[in-house]
Amino acid sequence: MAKQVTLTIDGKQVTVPEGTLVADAAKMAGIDIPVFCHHPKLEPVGMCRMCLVEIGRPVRDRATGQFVMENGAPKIQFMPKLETACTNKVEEGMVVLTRSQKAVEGQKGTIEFLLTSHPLDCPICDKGGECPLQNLTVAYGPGKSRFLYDEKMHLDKQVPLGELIWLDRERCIQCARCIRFQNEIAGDPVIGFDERGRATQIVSFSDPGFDSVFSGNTTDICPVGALTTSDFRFGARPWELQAHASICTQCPVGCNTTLNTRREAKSGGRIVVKRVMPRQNEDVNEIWICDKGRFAYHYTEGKQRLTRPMIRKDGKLTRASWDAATKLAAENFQKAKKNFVILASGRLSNEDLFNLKSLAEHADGKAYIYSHMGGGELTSLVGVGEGTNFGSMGAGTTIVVVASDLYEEAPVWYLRIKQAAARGANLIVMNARETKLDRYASFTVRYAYGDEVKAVSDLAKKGKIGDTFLKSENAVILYGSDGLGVSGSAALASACAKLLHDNGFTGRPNNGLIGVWGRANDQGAWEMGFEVEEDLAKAFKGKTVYIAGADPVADDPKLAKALEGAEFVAVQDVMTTATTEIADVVLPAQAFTEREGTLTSGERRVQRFYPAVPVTGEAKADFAITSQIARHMGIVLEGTSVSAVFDILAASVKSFEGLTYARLAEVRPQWPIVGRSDLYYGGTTYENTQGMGAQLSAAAGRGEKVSIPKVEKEALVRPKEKELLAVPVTKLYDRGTTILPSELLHERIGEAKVILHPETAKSLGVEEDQKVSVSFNGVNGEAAVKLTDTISVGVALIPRSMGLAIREPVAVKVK
Amino acid sequence: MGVFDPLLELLRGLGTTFKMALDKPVTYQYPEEKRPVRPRFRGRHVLKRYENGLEKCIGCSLCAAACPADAIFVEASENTDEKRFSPGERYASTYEINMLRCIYCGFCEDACPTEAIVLGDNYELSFYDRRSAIYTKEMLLEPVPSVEMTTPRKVEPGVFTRSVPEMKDPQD
Amino acid sequence: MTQIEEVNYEQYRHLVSERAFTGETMLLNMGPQHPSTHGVLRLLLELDGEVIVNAVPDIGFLHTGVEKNMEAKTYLKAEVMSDRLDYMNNLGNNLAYCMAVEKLVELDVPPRAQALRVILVELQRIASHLVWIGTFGLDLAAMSVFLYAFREREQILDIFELCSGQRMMTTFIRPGGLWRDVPVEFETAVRNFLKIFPKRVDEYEALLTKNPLFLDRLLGIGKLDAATALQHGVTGPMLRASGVKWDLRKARPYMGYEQYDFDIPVRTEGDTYARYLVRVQEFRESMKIIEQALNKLPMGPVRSDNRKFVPPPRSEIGVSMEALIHHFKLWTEGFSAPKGSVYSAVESPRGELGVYLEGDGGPKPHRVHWRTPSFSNLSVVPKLVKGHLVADLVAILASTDIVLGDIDR
Repeated sequence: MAKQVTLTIDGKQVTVPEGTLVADAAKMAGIDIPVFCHHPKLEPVGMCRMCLVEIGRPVRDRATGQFVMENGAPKIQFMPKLETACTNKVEEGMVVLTRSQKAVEGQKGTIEFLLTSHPLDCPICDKGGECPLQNLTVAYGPGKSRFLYDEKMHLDKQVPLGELIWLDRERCIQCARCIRFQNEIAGDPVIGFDERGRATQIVSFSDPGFDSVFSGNTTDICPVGALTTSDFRFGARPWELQAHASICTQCPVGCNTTLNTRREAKSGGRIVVKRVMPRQNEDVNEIWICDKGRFAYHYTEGKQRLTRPMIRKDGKLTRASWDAATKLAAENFQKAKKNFVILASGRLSNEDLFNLKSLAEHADGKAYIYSHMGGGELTSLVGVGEGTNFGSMGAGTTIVVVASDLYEEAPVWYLRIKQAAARGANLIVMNARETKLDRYASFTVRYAYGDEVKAVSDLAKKGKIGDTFLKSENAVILYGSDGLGVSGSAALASACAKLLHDNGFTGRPNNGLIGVWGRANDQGAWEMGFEVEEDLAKAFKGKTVYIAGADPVADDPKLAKALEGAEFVAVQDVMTTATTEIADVVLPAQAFTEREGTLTSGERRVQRFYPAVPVTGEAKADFAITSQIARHMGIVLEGTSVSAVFDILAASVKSFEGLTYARLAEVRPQWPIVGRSDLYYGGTTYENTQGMGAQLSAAAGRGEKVSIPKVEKEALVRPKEKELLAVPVTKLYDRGTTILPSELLHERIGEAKVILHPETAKSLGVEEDQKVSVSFNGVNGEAAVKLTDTISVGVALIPRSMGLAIREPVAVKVK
Repeated sequence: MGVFDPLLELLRGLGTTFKMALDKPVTYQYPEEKRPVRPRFRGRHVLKRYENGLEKCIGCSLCAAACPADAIFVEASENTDEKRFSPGERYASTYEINMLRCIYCGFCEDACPTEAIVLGDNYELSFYDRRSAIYTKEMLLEPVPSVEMTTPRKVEPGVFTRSVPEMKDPQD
Repeated sequence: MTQIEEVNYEQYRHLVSERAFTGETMLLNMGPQHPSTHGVLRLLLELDGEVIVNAVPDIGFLHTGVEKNMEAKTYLKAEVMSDRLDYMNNLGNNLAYCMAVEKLVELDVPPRAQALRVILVELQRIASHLVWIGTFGLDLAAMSVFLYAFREREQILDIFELCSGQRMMTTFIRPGGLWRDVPVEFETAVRNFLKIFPKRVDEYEALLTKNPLFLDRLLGIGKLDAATALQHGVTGPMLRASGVKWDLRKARPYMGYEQYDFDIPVRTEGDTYARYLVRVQEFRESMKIIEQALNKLPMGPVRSDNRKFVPPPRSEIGVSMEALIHHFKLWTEGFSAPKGSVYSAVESPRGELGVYLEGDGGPKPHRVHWRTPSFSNLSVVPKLVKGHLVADLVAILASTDIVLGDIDR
């Protein structure tokens, strides 16, 4: 428990931990001190001078060191000038006056100065209505102006700092919140100040402009309308939007979001999502979301959405009724008996996956998860459980990140883990190539592709790294699939699980295994008991396949061929994909914006998402579709109430025991205080009133016996002599089905690339940006060459989901 | 007097009414004869233009926010110099007023920062169904001063940049 | 085919006497659609021949949820609902509400605004009494008075249109003063009105005051004694006709009423004729007030310059950043009122019109309750009509000068 300090603010006694800044202490006590440049999550700079207050401190006698007493209490001496509350730490006995005449005049004067160079943009500025400058001007500023309009400064407006974020230089009040966020929190110092004096302006140093996956967060914390997103430009006024709680479905972090919707004429009178904003959950994503989550929601709208069930008649897909489509599917599933295969992906909610698994069990079929990673069943045994929170990790905890580039795969975990490292946690980053997290690591372990398991097992050996690991109180291992396929990552998972289990790093909060999955709810699928199949092509041939939320045809030509040879294919998805085009029955599913459900994040936290827009066409929720099909097969599965499915799920799956929808909707007071009335303080993040979720339990945590399967060393592929090894890596902006419909991200997605070391390129006779043909394992494609010396010689990195279907390390020919 | 008092009073009353019969009637024979309205009259809305033909409305939605009856719906879009509707970056791509909800209070006129929406003199509004009571931007915009000044039109770049003009206090 | 429904008379058992159930007396519905009930008022009459044994008012037909609706709107936007409460006294309602808001947020009102407010409210009083005298005469079959009264009322409504652009629902009085300064033609128009109106009042009196038919209908009818009146919370001309000299303009002066020299007409008989005489005299007193206020009209601003509550003038919006910001915030979010409650009352043509306003720190009122005079005035009517004839009921109702918008809100 940190040392507590008591001070008096505006006559009120306030007790806060030592080291708290006066501005934060006042906020904790419910007293508002206006701030612009100060943000509770950033280091204070005292640049804007808005938080000017009168501070008095108890006087000490220089000679004796004792308090000088006056009228029975320590004498308080006020500084002759005002001080900034954001840069002063609290002291015992301090007296702060925030509304004395001097302070009021100081605050008023600061606003007056800021407004002298501010353009008269309120009616056209996107921030109007949720603007800290507006709110603080009305609350603390002057009512009349003394400044001549003609002397206002004119600067560039609508400057693109990259195609996602636009800067209006006239509105910028040079508070540097954006620069400090990028430097301190995001770790991407790609923007900065240029020029000086009043001409100080923000510039972007990178190409592409504002090259950071967290750039959208600067628009939340910018106190004026200087930084705005091009996605939401002139979309709507904040008071015209309705807010709905949701969870981002792009990666396994499970960031809490708020979907702002409006009924508008531009969309033909429909209610549409206008923007995605972060929702505060200090246990998951704090108040941040990455740009993919912020901008890649367009797949839920648009012409590509499936609206009606379809049946293939005479070779063409024709509209059908729900009854006909589900009956046809049911008949075929029943006919298949043991040849019935379900392929589901982590795009579905827990309830959908549970119904699918139940259907597979009842129909004696197989339930596969569409994933390029294996080893998920180990997370039910030794995964992290209740109480695990990156925000509480510090000295004494070791975080191992192996075979994963968190910046690209789970950006907000990257943020959280680098902050944990800054707080003293031992961060061990293990990868075959350099990643952005290396800068914050206590130890970096470089291994060659194929030596993953050995590197992990070596962590238990004696040595600097090994000692740090074994001596720590808590240890969490995040394992990914960088350069690995299904069996490779499964082997890695076993190695990690064994390491944790053997050394007692399981069954307690902040201990355990975390998988950096490819999709939002892969964890849920693993918990339900879905299996991963390395050779899906073999699994499909001649079988009756029920695909939900996956698009194997577009991903891999081999799988496309296999599905063509399948007996019957039923596809359930939210939009038209290559797989729906070859299906025999197409079932339209509701997007996550249209329904409620739960998702399990990679940290094994179950969180609820709520509906935001009305249902498109005749789409039904995935679990309801599965239930309707099951009913035709004589199997009873709950298909009406989502919470009922969840209750059945909680009763069937051990890790979900004790969870209810009500429990998932519980909230706790969080710090910093954000929300509509406090948006000047924490930013325009929405407060969380709809639920913070709850974590699952793991077998180890429940005290059950855990046995880790043996690691299969042969599963790992090593580069052979004179052979170029292509390894799959994940990049954040790829051509996935859920991101491609967002046109404004197309520039960031770019074209297919193959990444080589300069020496490798030289030996192949290719140069940067040169288009080469890439062929491996029956896959042929084109890619542009990109050179970097952060990888080893002899490997070619091929990003997944960019048009080249790479599933595991494989020999490649590049010409 | 006593017994004649009531009679006297009756006669006094009758006298008053007879006098009135000889006075000029104060009735306006509407609709043939219409009483002119006062300058400040709050009737049907008009979206005004500048003298150069550009629309004054910048799509800021202050009128929609100020409306106590929630009668106005505004959607904004980006202005470019190639296709300019109003000065500045923003214009109203959708502007609808539901005349049945409107209570003609004039708050929209007060809230508008560019004097775009004003309440004019027309009070003769009637509809056959609710749908036709929703007046769109085309119905509300005042006509262009001359044909070359239609909006949208291409303009010289960099000239029409000021969204909120300098205005005078209302004089009437 | 008409459906005939049996009425369940049990629901009236506590309201009417036993004689109704034995069939000795008749239960008759008067209203809610009735030309003489001055609005949508239903009176359940228990009649013994023509004599009224019991009269039970049934109100609520015009209830539109104004008080609840105001809780959902910001302070400024809620004001438009005040116009539409007592629809004969629009400016008076505006004044009552604005005074409450000004009291809650401690907003000043410049002297010119105060004087203009007095003039407008008194004009509204005259307009309201003109409707009263018109309908009063009409109910008692003196139709010409109705037409003459509305001819004068047109002049007043024209003055309102001059100032605000609307004849009735003006929303001209805003927190902090007035919407805009009155136009140049205002003074001429008001003086013209004051020139011709005294003669017109004499005309009405010539038609009604000593008219034997009138006297026969009204003398001694509906006697209300002071004690009963006070018990029922009756205020306004009804109370003053029963002998209680109570007028908020004199007892609790506001908006500078103390500087004007006028009398409160009081009579002691308490019958409908007394109420008639009081209101007619009020015409003349109001004229006195208007004349004095117009003569004393100070120059100066008509709205407080406290920019935190009053939007800035249009000339500043295009050149001043602070003005634009305050304009934006005041018209979208509105100003916030502190936690606390105030009660502020004015003398409306019907009596004490009070606004109880409770703020909760936000931009929308937590509770707005209207203490309306017609509500209390109507509550005493059953006592007044007992034993009278149905024709007298009409006279009594007319003399109470109720407005259903005031009662039902």
